[in-house]
Amino acid sequence: MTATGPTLEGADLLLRGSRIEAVGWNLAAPPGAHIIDLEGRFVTPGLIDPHSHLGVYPSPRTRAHADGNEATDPFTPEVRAEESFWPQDPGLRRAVAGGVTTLHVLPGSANLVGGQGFTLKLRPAASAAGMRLAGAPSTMKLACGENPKRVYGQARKRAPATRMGEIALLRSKLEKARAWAADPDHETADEDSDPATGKEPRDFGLRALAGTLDGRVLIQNHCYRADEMLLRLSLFREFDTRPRAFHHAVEAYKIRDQLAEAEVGAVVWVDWWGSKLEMLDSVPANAALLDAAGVRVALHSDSAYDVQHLNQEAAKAMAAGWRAGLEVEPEDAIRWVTAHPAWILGIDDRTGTLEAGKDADVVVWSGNPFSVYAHADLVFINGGLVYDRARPGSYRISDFELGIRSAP
Amino acid sequence: MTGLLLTVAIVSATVYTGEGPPLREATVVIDGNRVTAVGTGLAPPKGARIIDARSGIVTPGLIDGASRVGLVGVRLESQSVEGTLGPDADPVRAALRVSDTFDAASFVLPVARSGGLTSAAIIPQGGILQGQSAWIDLIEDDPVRRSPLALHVSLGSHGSKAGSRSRAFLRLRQVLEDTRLVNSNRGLYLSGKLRPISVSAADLAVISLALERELPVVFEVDRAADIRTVLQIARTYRLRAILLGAAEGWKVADEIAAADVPALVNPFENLPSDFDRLDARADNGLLLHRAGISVGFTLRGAAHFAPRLRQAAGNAVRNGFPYDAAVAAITSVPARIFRMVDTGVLRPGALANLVIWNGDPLELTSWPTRMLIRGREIELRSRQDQLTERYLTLPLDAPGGPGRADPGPALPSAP
Repeated sequence: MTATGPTLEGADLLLRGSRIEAVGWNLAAPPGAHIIDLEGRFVTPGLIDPHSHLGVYPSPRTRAHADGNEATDPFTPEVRAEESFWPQDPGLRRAVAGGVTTLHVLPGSANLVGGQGFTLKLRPAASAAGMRLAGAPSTMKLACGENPKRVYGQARKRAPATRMGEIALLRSKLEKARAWAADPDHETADEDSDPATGKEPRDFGLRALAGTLDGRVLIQNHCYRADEMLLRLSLFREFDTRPRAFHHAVEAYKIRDQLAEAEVGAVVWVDWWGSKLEMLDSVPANAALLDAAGVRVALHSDSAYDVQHLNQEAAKAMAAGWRAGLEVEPEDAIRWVTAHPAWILGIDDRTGTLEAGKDADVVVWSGNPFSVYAHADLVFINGGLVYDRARPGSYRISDFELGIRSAP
Repeated sequence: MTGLLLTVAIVSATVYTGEGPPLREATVVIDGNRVTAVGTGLAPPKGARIIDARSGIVTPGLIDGASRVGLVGVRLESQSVEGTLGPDADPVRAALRVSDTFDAASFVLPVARSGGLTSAAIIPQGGILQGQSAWIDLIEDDPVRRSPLALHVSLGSHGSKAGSRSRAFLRLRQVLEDTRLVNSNRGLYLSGKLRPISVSAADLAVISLALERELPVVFEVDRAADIRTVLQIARTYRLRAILLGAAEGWKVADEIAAADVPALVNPFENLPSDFDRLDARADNGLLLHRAGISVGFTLRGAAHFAPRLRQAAGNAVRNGFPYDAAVAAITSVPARIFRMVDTGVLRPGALANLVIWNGDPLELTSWPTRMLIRGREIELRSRQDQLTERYLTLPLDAPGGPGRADPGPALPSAP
C-alpha cells in the first residue's frame, strides 16, 4: 500500500541506502542486494503520528519528567519540545513496534502559544538531536478553549480566564510579532543588543512567532469546537496567515467544507470524547467525513498507548465511515496515518508514501494492517532495519528499563 | 420500555455462546427475557419473530467487569461525575454505593452499546475503601441487577494519592481489625463503651459483609509485591478476593492461581506507566490464563472508551491469548467472577443479552448491527449517530441569516 493510489499486489520494493529507489512489478535487484521475500505480506509507508507527547511526558509518569508544559506564562513561543525530550522514554520502542517511524512531539496545551514542536525519526539515539528529522519545518503549538483558561484563569487567577480573553491576548501578541517582523532593524538591533545602552536583546519568542506569519513556521493549533476553529481562522486572516492544521478538531466534520476551502488540515482521534465539554460532539466518522470533503485529515494518538496501534485507529475510522454510509477505501484510510500527517508536518517531500526518492521508511505487516491481529513485523527507517519482531532485542529497551524490566 | 415480549428466533448465525468454540449455522431461541434454546440447525418455533443474522456472528452481550458508564458524563465537570468524593474526603467510604447515583439515561450508555456492551460492573473511584459496585444492564428501565455487588479497595499508588502505599495498607488493616473488634463486642460498641474506632457505623456494616464472605472484595492493585500482600490479607481475613488491574500479576501468577483468585486485567497495559506497573507486559493476561486463573478483560473504569472493550480483547489475541477464551473474557468470565449466573452466556435459561455482529466481533472493521437486552431489541443509535446524520450534508447555516464567516482576503498558498 503506497499511500499514493491503488494497492500494488505482488509488487516489489527496492530500497537503496536511505531512499526508496523503485516500487513496482518485476524489479531487478542489483547485484549484492539483500533480498527479503515477504510472501504476500502487506507493506505500507512508516506510520506518522502528528501529535505525540512521548519524551516530554514520558513513562513512567512522574513529576521529575513532566516536561511538556512550560506553564509559567500563556505565551512561550521560544521553548522547544526538542529541549525537553527524553530519548530514554520506554514508550518510543513500543511506538516503533506499532509501525511508527516519524513522530511530531508537541508541547502541551496549557499555553495559548506553547512552543515549538519536534519532528523526529524513531531511531534510537543518545540525544533528541540525534533523532531530529533534519530539514523538517519548524512548527508552533497553539491552543484554544478550555485548557489555557483553566490553567491560567481558574487555577492562577490571571489572564486568560475566558475564550474572548484568549483571542484578545493572542491577537495582541501576533500584532507584536508582526511589528517585530516589519521593523527593518530588528535583526541588526539584535546583533547590537546591549543592556548598557538599553538596546533590547534578541527576542527568540517573537522571532519564532513572526515565523508563523510568513509561513516559515507551521501553526499546529489545538482546538476542538467548530465555532472556535472558525474564530481562529478569521483571527489568522487578520494577519494573512493560517494554521497548517487544527489538532483534536473533534467538531471539524461540522465545518469540513470551510476547512477544505481554506486548505487547513485536521488531526483527529476516532473514539476519544467526553472528558471535557468541548470534546462532547466527537463522532467516529469525523475522519471519513473530512476525507470525503477533501480535507487533509490525519489520525493522531496523543497517547503512549494509542501510538502503538495507529493502524487499528485507522481501521476504526474507516469502519465508522462505512457505518455512516460513506465510501472509504483502505487506500484512503492508509493516508490518514502516512501521507496526510506528512503534509501536515511539511515533510511530504521526504516521507509518508512509498515512492521513488522518498526516505526508506517502510513497515512490513504480518497481515492486513487494518486487522486487529496484525503486527508490524519489520520496520525500516531511512533504509535501516530498526525493528524486527522476530528478534526482540532488535530495538533495545531503554536505559531506564534496564534492570527494572524483566519482561522481554 | 414497553411492548410484548414475544418468542424470537435468531437464525443463520455463527453463535459464540461465551463458553467455548462457536456453533455454525445456528439458531438462538428467546422466550421473554430468557434464552430457551441454542443449537446448530435448530428450527425456529412456530409463530416466533425471526431475526435473520445474515450469516453474522452472535455473541452474548459484552461485559466490562470494571466500568464507569452511567457514572461519568463529562469527566472534567464535577457535576456530572459520580461514584466518587472530592479529593479531601475520607479515603474510607465503604458505604458509598454507586447504584445510588447511577444514571441509566446517560448519553454515554448508547455509545457504550455501540461497542457491543450490554452489561457492566460499575465501580466507585478514589479513596482506599472506595465503596460498593453494582451490576447493571445498559437499559433505562430497571437497569440494576445487583447492588451491592462487591466492596472495592484501591491499593498501591492508586489508593494512596495523598501519601504512600504504606498508608493505604495501614488504613485497610486498621479498618479490618476495627470491624472485627466491633463484631465481637457488639454490646460494648452499641453502648458506646468500646475504644474509639476508625470506621463509621455505615462502613462497618459493609465491611462486615465482606468479612462474612457475603460480599466479594475487589482489590485494585498492580505491583507484584502489593499483589502478594493482598493475597496474604485475603487469606488472613478469609476474604473473597478479586484482583483488578494486576499489571504485574504475571510475576506472581502461581501464587494468584494457588489462592484461587480471579483477575480483571486491561490487555492494553504494556507500559511502565507508573511505579506500580514498571514490569507491565502485553501478554500479562495470557500468562495469568496459562497459570489457570480466571481472566476477564476490562478497560478499568472507562466510561467514554467503553466501546474499546472488544479492541482490548482483539489485542490480547494479537499477543497470543486464545480467541475463544478472549471472547469469554469479555462475556462469561466477568459474569462468573461476580457470580452473576445465567449472564454472559447463551444457553437455555440464560438472560437474553446478545449482540449480532456483521463480522468478527474483535475486528474493528465490523460492528454490532442488532442488540437484545433482556429479550428486547435495543436501537443502536447514539448521540454520535444523530450528530453524524445531522451533518451528513453541509452547510447548515440558515439562508438569509448572517451565514458563513466572511472568507476575507485571499490566503497565501500553502507553505
